[in-house]
Amino acid sequence: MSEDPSTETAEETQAPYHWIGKNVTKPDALEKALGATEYVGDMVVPGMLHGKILWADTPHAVIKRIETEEAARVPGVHAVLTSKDVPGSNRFGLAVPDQCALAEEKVRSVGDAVALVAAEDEEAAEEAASKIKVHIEHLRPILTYADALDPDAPKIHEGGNVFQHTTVRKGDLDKGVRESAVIVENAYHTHRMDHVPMEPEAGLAYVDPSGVLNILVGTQYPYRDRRQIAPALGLPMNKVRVIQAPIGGGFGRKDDITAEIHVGLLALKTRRPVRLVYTREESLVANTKRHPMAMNFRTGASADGRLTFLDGDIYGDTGAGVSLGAYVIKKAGIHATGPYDVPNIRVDTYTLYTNNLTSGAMRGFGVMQAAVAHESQMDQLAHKLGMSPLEFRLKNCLKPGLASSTGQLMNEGCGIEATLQRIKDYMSARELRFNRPEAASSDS
Amino acid sequence: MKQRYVLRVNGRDLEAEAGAHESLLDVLRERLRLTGSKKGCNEAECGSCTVLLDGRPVVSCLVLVPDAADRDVVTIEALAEEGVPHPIQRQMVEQGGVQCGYCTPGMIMSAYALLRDNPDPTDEEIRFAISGNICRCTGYGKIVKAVRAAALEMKEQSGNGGAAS
Amino acid sequence: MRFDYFEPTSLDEACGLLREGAGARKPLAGGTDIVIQLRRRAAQCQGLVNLKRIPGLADWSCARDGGLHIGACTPMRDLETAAAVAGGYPSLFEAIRVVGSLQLRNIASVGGNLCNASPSADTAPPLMVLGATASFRNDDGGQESVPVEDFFAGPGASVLGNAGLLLSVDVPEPAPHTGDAFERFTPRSAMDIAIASAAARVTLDPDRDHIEAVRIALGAVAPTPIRALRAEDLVREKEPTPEVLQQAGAAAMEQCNPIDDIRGTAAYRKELVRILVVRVLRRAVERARGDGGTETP
Repeated sequence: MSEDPSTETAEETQAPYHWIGKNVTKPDALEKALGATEYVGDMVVPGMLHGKILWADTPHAVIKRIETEEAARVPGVHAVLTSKDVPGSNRFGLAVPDQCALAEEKVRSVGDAVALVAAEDEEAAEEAASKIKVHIEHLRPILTYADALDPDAPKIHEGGNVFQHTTVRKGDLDKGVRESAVIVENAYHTHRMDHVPMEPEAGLAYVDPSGVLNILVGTQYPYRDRRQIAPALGLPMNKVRVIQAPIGGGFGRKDDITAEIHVGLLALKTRRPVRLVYTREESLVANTKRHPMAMNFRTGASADGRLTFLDGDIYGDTGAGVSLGAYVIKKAGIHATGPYDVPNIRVDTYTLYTNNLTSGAMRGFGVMQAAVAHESQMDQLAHKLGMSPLEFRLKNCLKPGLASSTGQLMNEGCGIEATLQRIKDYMSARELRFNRPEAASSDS
Repeated sequence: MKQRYVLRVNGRDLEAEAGAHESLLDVLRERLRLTGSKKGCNEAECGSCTVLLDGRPVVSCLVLVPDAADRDVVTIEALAEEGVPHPIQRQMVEQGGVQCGYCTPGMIMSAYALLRDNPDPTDEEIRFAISGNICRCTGYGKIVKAVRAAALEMKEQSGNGGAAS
Repeated sequence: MRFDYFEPTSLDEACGLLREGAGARKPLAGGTDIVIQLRRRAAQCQGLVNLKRIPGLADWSCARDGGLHIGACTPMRDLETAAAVAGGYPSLFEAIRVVGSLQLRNIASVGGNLCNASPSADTAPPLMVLGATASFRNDDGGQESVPVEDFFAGPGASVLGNAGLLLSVDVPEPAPHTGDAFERFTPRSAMDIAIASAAARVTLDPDRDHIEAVRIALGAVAPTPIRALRAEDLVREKEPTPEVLQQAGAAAMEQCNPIDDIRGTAAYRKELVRILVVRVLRRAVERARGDGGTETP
């Protein structure tokens, strides 16, 4: 956070490029600093209605019946919609369309939307939503990795609770174990995390005179949004236009559908512009998270401090929908060795459905979870070997000419060695030392 | 239910019809169409709704509108004078303190109150003053830098006899 | 969350409005708790009675021989920015300074913090060790005073009935050679709620060797903020050696009765109490000796 001038290099400031290496003022920054930028939640159009979502609020249940009559009678209410009112497939999802815009026969997570309301003002919409009666029958919720792996557990989706299994194999694991002087084995758990963009999700939709459904939304990917919105609502692709509005932070979660389909459906049904703005609580409950992962890692090193093998399993909880989970969790497996040269590898990853909140893309995309495990393993191996954790990393890091766990040959852009060397120089110039004493290999 | 309230916003008396349960923030945004103050959490956690009430920075999401009646409200919209951005606004842009921009107006209002009371703050004082404003993009470093630069600019302006706010 | 809204201009009027409400109306000071509770539908009420237009309720004063008088509606930030409070009652200053954000403390009142009666109310432990009294109108309109430590009846409950109103909190002038300190533990350094908190005040003998008088109070580790009486007994009339302070910490840990919740487990809270009590005692002693102790760790 604090800027140390010594960390700026001369090359960076003297680069012969037009933009690279230069400080560039963001073109929209002044408008934002003046408070003049209109995010979707700031926008008002004539005749606009306000949308509200009724959330499932229960993790796993069968929906028996939904009563909307009383809600529809609230003054100012223009529409109360359930899955029966959705003209298209009602399905969306980035990897596979496994999420329902409005829950049909089943609720799979507390963040599933069950019904929608459009009304003259937010209070009427809120009141109507509170008067919708949902009759449900609870099912056993699948909340842990063990539950999801249990073959006898209820299936959240028809295909079962293990969505994907991937493997990374390299070299000869037994040989790696035999060559090891030290081995550390640990279980790591990382937690679910919300991106908490400062702007809660919001959408504004209207049908224009040519019959095109326009949706303004702070999204990371308008065209991929459209590819999900059009089939879910039963519209041809050219009848949906997603307009990128100013985005008050995304960090990966606005890769996914947020308010788009709901606000679009309300606009289609009411033929009025509709704005739908999440509360912070809704934003925390309903949108994708960083995947929690459980990682069991066994890693070895030779007496002279060379990594010998990694033997690991990674379980990722993707929640009730895959979103991008299959890629995120696979990526954790690919990156399980970190930026280090490991000759012998066995890593398996499992993408698991649970009734927890759906997890998707978030900064780092699975690599951060893996880093918690591989960097902790590196520290512990260095400790057992009686080596400096920095020297141990320098000795094992990837360099041009070496290959990653999946065989990608390193060439330019492999900066780990230079990075570690810079840390080493920085520390020695300031006589900084690691807090943890370096143990002898006989220790622990 | 609804009542007519007179709010003195940015030096002007403005009338708004609202229920007593409505917040100053909602009235500013929805009735007076002053949407520079943002609604990031609606429960005093994020600071994006910060305005000055009788000169004090407050979270406008928790001020009920009758409580704000007949009091002075200053919002982000009032900081630029005749189209000239306030030094804090300009420095937020120049130092890279603005990214997604959603926290920016509230952040600037907190910084504005700080520099009015303390024209030469330390970095620690700046960090304390903005500790109720959450930013998820910048990591705060460049915001602190911007406030520091703005303080310097304002000091130079007043030193030259210029119009420092 | 619709409700009736009242703006009485006298105490009698306010108490009358609350009495008419028979429990369905609540007093409104800063509103930083009640407004959120109403929005979340965590509290029910048909009417709010705003107290801030009643003359005198937001007044505070700090007299050299009269102690600190805090009107119930005094915004926390008023006290936070007063040198007399930071210098004379540092534990209270330290507690106020960490409540919510600066923008919240410009609205939130000390009285509201007490009346909301959260077990984790930051201002409660310091006011308890400072020997503060709470003056209030009772349900029948009579005026009463109780020590702040007797003000709480349980989580969210105080001695005030449906129609009672807190008027002021009065803190006596500290005796010579007295020091006090507050500390809490939160995962974040700002904008958080205490997992556990502790305050202590000690008065040393004229030679400043022994503790003559001591009070220790704990927050967030029992249904109400509590005094750690056994810990007090262990340090009273003792030399404040590290061992003695450790014993007090251990005794406070035994005496508290925390719950497991999303912020922390009972075991973790107890461990925090042990550490926090040692720290606040140490800093209170340093302040009583007049050799610093103003720095928060």
